[in-house]
Amino acid sequence: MSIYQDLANIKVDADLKRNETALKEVFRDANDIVFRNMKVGQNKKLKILLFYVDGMITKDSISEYAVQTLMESITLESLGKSNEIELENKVLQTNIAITELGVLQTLQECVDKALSGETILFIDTCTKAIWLSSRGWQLRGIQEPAAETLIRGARDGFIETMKINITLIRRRIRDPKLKVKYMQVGTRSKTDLALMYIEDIVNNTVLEEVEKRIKNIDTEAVLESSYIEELIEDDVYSPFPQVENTERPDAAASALLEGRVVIAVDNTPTVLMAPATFVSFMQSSEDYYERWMLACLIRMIRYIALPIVMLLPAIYVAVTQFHPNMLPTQLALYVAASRANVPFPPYFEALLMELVMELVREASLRITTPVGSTIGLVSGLVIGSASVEAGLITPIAVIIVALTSLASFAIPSYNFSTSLRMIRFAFIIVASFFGLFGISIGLCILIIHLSTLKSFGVPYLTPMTHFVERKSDLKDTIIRPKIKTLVRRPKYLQVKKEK
Amino acid sequence: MFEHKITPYQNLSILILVSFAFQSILMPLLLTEIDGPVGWMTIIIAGLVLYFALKPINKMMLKYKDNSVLSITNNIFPKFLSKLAGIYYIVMFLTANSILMKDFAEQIKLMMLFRTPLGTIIILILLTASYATKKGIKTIANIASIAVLIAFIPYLLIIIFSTYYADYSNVFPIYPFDVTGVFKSVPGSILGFFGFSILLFSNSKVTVQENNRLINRKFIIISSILYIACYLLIIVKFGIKESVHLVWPFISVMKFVNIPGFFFESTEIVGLCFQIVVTFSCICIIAYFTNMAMQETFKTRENGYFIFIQIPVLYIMAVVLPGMYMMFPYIQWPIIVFSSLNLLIPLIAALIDRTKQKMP
Amino acid sequence: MKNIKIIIITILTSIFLTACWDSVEINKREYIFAVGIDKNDKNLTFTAEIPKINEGSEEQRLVYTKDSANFADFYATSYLHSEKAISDRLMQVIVLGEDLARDAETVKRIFDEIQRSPQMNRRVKICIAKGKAQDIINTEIPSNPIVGRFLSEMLIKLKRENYQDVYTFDEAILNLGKTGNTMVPVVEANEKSLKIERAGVFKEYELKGFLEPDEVAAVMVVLNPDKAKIRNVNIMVEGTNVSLGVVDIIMTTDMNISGDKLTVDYYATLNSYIDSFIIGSNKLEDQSYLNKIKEEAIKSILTVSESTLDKLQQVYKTDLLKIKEDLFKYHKQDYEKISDKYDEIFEAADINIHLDMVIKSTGLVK
Repeated sequence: MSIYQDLANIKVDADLKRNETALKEVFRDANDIVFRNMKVGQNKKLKILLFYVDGMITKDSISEYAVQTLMESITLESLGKSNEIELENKVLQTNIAITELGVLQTLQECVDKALSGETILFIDTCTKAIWLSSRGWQLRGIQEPAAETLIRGARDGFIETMKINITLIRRRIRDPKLKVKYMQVGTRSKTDLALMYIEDIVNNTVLEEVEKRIKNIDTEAVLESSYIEELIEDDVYSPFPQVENTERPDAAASALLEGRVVIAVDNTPTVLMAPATFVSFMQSSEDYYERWMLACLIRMIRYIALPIVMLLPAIYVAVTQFHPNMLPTQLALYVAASRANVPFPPYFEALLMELVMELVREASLRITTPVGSTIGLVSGLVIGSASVEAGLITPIAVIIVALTSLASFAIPSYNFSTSLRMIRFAFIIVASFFGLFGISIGLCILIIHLSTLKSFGVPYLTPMTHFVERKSDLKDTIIRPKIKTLVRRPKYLQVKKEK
Repeated sequence: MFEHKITPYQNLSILILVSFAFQSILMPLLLTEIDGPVGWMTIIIAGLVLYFALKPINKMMLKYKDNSVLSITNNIFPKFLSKLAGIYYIVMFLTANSILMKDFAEQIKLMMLFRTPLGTIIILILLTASYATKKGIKTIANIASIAVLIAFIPYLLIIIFSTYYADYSNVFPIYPFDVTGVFKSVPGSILGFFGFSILLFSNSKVTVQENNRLINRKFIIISSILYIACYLLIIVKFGIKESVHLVWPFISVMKFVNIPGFFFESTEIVGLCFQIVVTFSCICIIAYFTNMAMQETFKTRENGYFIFIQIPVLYIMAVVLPGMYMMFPYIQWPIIVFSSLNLLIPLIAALIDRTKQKMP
Repeated sequence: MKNIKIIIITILTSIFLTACWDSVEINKREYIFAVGIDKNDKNLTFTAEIPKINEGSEEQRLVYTKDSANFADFYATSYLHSEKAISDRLMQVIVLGEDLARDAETVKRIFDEIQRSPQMNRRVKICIAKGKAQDIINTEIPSNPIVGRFLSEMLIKLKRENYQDVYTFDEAILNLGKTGNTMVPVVEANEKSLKIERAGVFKEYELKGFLEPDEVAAVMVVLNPDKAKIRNVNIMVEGTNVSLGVVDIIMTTDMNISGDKLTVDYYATLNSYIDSFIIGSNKLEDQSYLNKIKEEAIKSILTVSESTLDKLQQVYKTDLLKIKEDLFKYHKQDYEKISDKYDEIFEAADINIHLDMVIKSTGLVK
């Protein structure tokens, strides 16, 4: 059996050398792993071994608060052989001034801790090791999230370090009932994950289901929270996301206060919030920071943008190919005139322009920020106007596609607007076959799919599917009511405390 | 926590939607059978009959909780009669569904897709509805709720704008009215409240069954108001003399929708788009309850797979059946039979149950 | 199960791919804006106006004439004569020639086809041509080359200003269904344009005659008093020309049937204003002078109204005032007794108009 498989069974040896040999075998050819043998105590008689990953620790804190104090300690001389109780009393409680530390019993635990950025202290003759909190890698500073900028609102956003993200949330909810449960996922990556919830609000069934699904994750590596999102969501084949994500601590705090569960993942500046519904993807934190009347208007505009994103190109195709009598006479003649020299049928025009817009969008993401937006603008203008002048497409098609793109930016959730953009292509195709009838059938299929979709037991289209029983939830959908009237949590979450 | 049953108001949405679909199909019958614009009297009479019939039926259904009318008749009627009742409901639902599909497909063909074969339109609607039916009652209830919000209510709002061209004096003369015609068209009006047949099955799927009586009453009242409002809308727009010639009154009404500032000219197509969603919801509701009727008649464990039997049957029936306007001269007796049986089967079951209860 | 799903999807997709049966691009259709229908010896002559789709600012049109039995025949033959699909979905106006309008059977046939058609909107405008409809459609109007659009906009304006009772096919067919009579606008050539002043009187789908502009106005006052106006009442009072207009009419109606005698009394209060008088005179401050103006104005209006009523009763024997409809709605029992001989009863009916005038305003000066 290889040493990797046996690590969990190998206990910490009293002999430092054996521990060192085993670990060096495990970390063979890993030159960033450091083994530091020392003699500590006033008479320099006690041997210790420090084991850590170079670059992941703050060396100063280890030197100052652990090694230095151990070096000068007189109590260690009298430690004797393998005396764990004395080790705990003397070393842990009196000699080391680091705030967070603990005891490890197996080499596997030592390896896991070391790879998480802790320093492992082996003491000769002791069959336990000590881990010392020493995480100190380079961090990105807290910045405004790039994808969720607001006019008014906090400008801090999550970063890649999970503990700092948790802190950002804790600062907003200073409630002892806010619980943080640590878990680990990924057999190789061993990514840390924190499950956050407010104990006296959250629905226990939802919480247990989230926990269960996370525990059932069986994968080697989790490099981003999107892995977890995909692995725990109800329907992977649905184009619609069933777990919400955010880079904003205020949004996460708001979700917790509603009774939802927040999952913070290490190495990801995005936290996940579950359960998520259709309505939650249409809400933005800014709705609650602006005056309520303005927020109502903005929300209504968003809901108007929703069918525009999905259906406008398809309606253009349907109307020009199947139902030209729907247009006002003057417009119908103008559209017919503008299409006179265009070689492509309307559905091809629509598909082509949508594809070009997607290409422009992708290209502008890859190009560095100062130039990217300019290139996006220029390419849009150039391609659009040049195509019209060349007679490849009609001006109306350019307007339709531009309006659709603008409308997609009105949807607050990037994930959700991407889903709608995908569906748009399907609608264009059905519209090219059956016109408005095809669009209606497509809408029916979409409604069926969304009606079946659930997010951790919560129907996706709530509260519209229960608009009488949960009419109090409806008031925070298309409009944003006054803060004074927002006294109850959403009924659809069936939380413990509604008020 | 999240039960696989429907809420009382979802039940109400289902009943109202289904009734509306059949009221719009049977409206020409109501217009032609009565000499004069007094069809609203027929609707009121039909509504009252059903309202009072609900009391014993609801009492019986509350006693046999979680049981549909067929399960109850299995307990009350002799085996042969209960099987016959089951087959009756299956045939009735299949016929109603195929007529609904056929009628609607014809409207789509005429107004939107003139050269598309009728069979293609029917199969599209059928397959879409079957997809929903397979998902179960919870999905169907959700679809019904969504359809009410995003399609039904906008549809009603749109057709209200046709009153721009209305002449309200067309509701006269009221007296003297055609008494024979009014009473002759009551069976057709009762059948227009198709939700009455549906509630005999859907009530058993509701979470809080104690609320069923109130919900069913609300259904009768709301449906009656809608029925009367739609009838009067047609009358005020066209007058009784022109209305009798209309094959699809709602389409004709929608052609006159005049929303100030609305740029679409053919508003009937916009209205039809909403009607597609409403009708599709009705088709999948009826298909689901046909499944349920089949399950209870043939005593199977599951009902989801009956939809695969329904698809070819519904398609053939829809394609073979003539249009509604061609059937009008011949459907008088079938309407009387269907509406009588729809009313009598649950009432007789309630009566027998009550009699059995009283006997020691 | 998965394989069966894939097979079904493949079959359906291949069926649908052969499809798009109704897909005709907007620029591959020819839109008929106006159609004129005349009667000839054997058939009907359809004159269709089709705007040319071009990108310039000038509006050009194509006028196309064909002899056909009906609309369906006309479309079928037109289909073979053009590279585009003919479409009547944007039709604005239908002009019936005078000869055709006088043939009840042909009018019934055409009206039936229009109301049966799902593509042709019942809101299509309708008018009668004085003479041939072909001439009307062929008229070149410099300011608005598309005759269909010109007529459509004019009819909308006339309806809005209450100059005409009927402007759409729907209104015409509803009136004909309820009372058997209707009044349809008449379009005539007017130098380099077209004008709609008169109205044609239809009875049982047959054109009986025409009503002059002031007669049309008199009928509109009775039909729709709330929106009616009487424009330009010119009278002579003590040697001075006075011009009045009536803006507001309050009317009540009293109908009575006793046996075979129908009596209808219209009581109207006309709220009027002085349009023009003469500078320098202050007679308008004198109440007695105003009363004289009222008397003369009432006399003038009554003369026209009574002559119109006479024409309707005696000449055309056509109830355009919708008395029949009101009797049916509000006096059904009495109406049923006389319904089969209504025409005679209408002819002999005693219809009276009683006017009262109030001069509400003399304008900005006394």
